[in-house]
Amino acid sequence: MSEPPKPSAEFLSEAQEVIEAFSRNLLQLDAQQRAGDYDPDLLNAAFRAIHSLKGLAGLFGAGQISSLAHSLESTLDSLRLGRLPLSQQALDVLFEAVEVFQNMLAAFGAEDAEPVSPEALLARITALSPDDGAANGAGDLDGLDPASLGVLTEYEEHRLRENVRMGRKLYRVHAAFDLLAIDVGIESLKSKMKEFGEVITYLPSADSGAEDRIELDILLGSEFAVGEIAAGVAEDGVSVYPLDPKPARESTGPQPAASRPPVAPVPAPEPDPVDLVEAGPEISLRSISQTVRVDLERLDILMNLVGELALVQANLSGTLEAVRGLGGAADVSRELQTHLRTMERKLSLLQQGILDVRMVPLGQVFDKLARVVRKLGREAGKEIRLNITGAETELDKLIVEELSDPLMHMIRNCIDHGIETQGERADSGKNATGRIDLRAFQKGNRVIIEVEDDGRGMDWRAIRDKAVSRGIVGDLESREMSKQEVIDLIFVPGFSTRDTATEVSGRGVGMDVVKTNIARLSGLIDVDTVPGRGSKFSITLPVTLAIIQALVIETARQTFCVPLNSVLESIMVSQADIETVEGHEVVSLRGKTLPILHLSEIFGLRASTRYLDPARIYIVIVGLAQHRVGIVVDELLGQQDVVIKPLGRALRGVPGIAGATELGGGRTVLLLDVSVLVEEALSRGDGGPHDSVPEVAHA
Amino acid sequence: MAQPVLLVEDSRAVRSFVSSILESAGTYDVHEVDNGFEALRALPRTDYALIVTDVNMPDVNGIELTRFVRGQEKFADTPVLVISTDAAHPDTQRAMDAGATAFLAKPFTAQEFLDAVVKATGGA
Repeated sequence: MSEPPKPSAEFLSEAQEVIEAFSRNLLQLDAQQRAGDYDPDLLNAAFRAIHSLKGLAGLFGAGQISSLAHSLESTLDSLRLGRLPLSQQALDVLFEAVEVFQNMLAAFGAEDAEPVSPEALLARITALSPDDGAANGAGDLDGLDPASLGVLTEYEEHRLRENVRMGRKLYRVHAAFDLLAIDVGIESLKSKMKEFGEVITYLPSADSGAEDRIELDILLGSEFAVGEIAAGVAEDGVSVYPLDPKPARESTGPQPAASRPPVAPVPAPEPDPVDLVEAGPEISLRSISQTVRVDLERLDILMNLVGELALVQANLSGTLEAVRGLGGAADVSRELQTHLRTMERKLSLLQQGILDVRMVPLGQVFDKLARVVRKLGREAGKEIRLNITGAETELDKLIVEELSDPLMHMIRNCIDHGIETQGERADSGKNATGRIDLRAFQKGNRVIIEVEDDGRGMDWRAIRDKAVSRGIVGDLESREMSKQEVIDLIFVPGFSTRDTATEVSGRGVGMDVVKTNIARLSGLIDVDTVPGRGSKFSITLPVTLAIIQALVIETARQTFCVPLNSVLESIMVSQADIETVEGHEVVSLRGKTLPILHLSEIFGLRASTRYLDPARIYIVIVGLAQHRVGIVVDELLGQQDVVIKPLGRALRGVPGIAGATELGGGRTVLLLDVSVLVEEALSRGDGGPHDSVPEVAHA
Repeated sequence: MAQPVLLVEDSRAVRSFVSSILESAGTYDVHEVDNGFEALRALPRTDYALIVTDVNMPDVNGIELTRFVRGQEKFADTPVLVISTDAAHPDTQRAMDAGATAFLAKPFTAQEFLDAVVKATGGA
């Protein structure tokens, strides 16, 4: 059994996490470095991340990742040991490594991936390497017990020296903890100590006399006086001793040196036995990690089961009604009713619970964007500050993954076209540093993501001219359009194909692709722009796609579900309100023209009448991205939570159908694909074959 | 009767790799922890036959842990196998000085790891 373990999903996911954590460390370091001073803990965390990655990749046979990590590890080691200054150039190289690692990881996971070549990066890493003889700027640790120095890592020893060099005093904080509660106790003490300086390491004391307690000596570097620290960390069983870097008379042991009595020592109290005693040793020892990783597919299975249970419950309710109809046994019926209600509530909690498990914070994507902003900003020679708010906002994992590309493109656009050069900004009296705000927040059952820049904004006249010159709209037609309608033309395919693809937004992907991607997630995108002041794109998304609220409608004797998050409103009109413009039926809604669609035409259903009741025609208005379309329906049956199921083979190719779901009574009902219906309404051909004369309804 | 082993390692995937090697050898019962504090918690509860620890961990590092283990009467003779990435690193020597029984550099194969375990435990 000497072969390396197979590239398990476990390796890939941990490596990915490590790289993401590394990237977050770098972003923080970058901000702090610009501000002039950085937290050494962050740099050490970055080192540890790459160190772990090296070991991890080595064990799992990812030799390329391991050897790049090895090179980078030396650089980071030099950085954290102060042999190499943390410059923007160094950060550039580290940020570049994040990208290369991610490409390597992707290539490692895939069979036919293109190999990633790290040579350029390796050369840049080598160029950073310090002279071996570079001074360490060491502080003098003569007074410290060599025995305790021996158990420090090289880095911890360096931090001790650094603290001395910075003129800080060193302290030994002695603490005793109940073994069962050590994690809680340490966290609380750690956060108190950090207020006073740098926690360098924790040294467990060998003998505390009691099996269920542990004593620790914590090395702390601080500019505060011993009394202040002792008062600040005051806690049961904690005492603070200065470590005098002058020759010490005795070695540090568990007991304090006689000549330096402890300040404010508090007798160790009985450990607080609450909470943990009941758990028993098995449980407390096994609770290594609080998280479990689950394959999304397994959650889908659970989700489907919940959906099926909801159907069983609906069927039970139906049966109960039938039993009631028979009369008699009223007590039993009532009791059954109560149980059914309880079951309904619990089912809905279960459903919510499973949905919650699928949620991940948007921060994952935002971190990636922050790297892009930094990189592209530097390449374009523009100073850009990215402000992120709401990174903790959660969305379904599938949605978060799909959002990455559209957001990336929008950010690229901001940098390429939105933010002006420093010179231009100065000329127009703006701050030389451009600003991009990335915000996320939840609003009801939707999540809004905004990308706003303070750049040059968009000139609607220029958009109109470009749209006309590209033949997207006719010249005459364009003159009848409102300003917002003109601006919305940026989402039309063919608009943003650039004459010369720039380095930044490159690739010839336009806002139409962004719109399509957002629409696929049942999302809407809107843009608001002020020339000279900037642009704001707002994306509105449902929180999840697995379970949706649907509007159940009937038309041509068929029942359909419409995702409620695409439904803007339902209106009732009479036939007199419906006009025909260029062969298409439209209604006028608050001054805007709304095209209307008949599902019977789209799906080729036989409808006995065009309008069931010409005086009361229901129109469901659906919106997708910036478009609005009305769907004529015979009846609105109500709203319901539905679990989306994939379509069977027969229906998979039918445009306009997104999926299927089951309603009570085992009926399978089709879910409309609003994006396709909207496309259909927009692209309906010339001449308009649908201008048939409405028939008179029969009652 | 399987022998209890304490495995201290902060990487999840490395932990699971090492653990699976030991478990498949059939004679070990592995208790995994991901940091030094958890290791301190675990030590008094079981008479481990072997302790495997990483060196580079936050807070309580593997050198400190080794020194602590050696200070405990019941673990005075327990083999401590240190796994780290670099034999030449000063930290490796410090771990040995603190009382580690043997050192194994990452990356290693399953066989190399088992050999190191057998050697550390005195050919058991």
